[in-house]
Amino acid sequence: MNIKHEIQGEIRIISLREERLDAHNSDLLKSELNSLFESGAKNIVIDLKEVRFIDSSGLGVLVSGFKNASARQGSLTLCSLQNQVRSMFELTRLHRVFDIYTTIDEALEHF
Amino acid sequence: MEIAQQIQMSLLPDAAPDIPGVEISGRCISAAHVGGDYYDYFCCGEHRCDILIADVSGHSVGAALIMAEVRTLLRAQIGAARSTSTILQDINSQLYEDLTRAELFITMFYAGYNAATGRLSYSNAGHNPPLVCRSGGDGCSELDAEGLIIGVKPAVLFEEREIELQRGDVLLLYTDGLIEAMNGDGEMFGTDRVCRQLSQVRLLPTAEIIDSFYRSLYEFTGSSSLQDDVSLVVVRLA
Repeated sequence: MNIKHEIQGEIRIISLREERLDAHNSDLLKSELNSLFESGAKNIVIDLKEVRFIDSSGLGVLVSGFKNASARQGSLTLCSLQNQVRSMFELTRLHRVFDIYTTIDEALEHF
Repeated sequence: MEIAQQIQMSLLPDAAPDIPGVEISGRCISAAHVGGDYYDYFCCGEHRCDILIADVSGHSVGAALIMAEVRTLLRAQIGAARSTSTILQDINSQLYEDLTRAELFITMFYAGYNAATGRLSYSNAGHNPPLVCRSGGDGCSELDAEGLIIGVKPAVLFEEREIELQRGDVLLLYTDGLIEAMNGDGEMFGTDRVCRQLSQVRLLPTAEIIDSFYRSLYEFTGSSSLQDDVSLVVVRLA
């Protein structure tokens, strides 16, 4: 899985360089998130700008990352959702659970 | 994966409930990459028939086991005459911890039909809204209600809505494998195509309506196997 990592103070930014987040690659994102949490990270921003399609496996990894961050008094926020991805969040009502921003900068401002 | 598939298939109903004036068919065709589709229907008393469709995220034995747990919990409350919103609320609170541990979630649409009044009440936990094609009208509409997917928060409230059904009305409950099926150009089957087809085939027997959708899917994708599980439940009031 192609992922770009950035660190801004205590915030880790993960930019997914994939067109799809689905059953074929969601486990890889899960491992990335788990190793971030294990290294002590609590606040994570996931940039989904390049993701055109997400399925329930992809959503599952984001939900589990969200719960993991919350359990550590941290947060997992999302930014730059494309149309299909946004529709999935609206269908599942997860857009009312996650903090979702238009850009990385906007997400960072809210910490 | 074969074990998961066997568990999944053994949990699906093998016969439709016998309610006068209601014709129901359901089918699930598994993909090689098995998912967590589940549908069920059961009668409570003379007039009430409950119908549900759900999808457990993930593709594993874990998802199939969660599905078995959902089925046990749902079947344990048959006859308790509870509202659809309460049923989803209870399922969410009962399964929250197991789902968190398994890192899974469930989408579920749950409806209760009362054959004496013709009223269908329903609640939705983030599942693809079923489509209803009315006997008098053209086109179809979605049955949606507010509700978060199951397993994200320990306590969730679900909206309950109600419609009155009439003779000839057809309902289609489905899982995401139907609308997300992709052709060679990367185009998805989509809800609009499903709506158009449902309007065209709504007079066929329910089992044939289901056949027609699978045929269209195979034609659309140009493949003889499915990319994800596709479950369909069709209900018609006769």
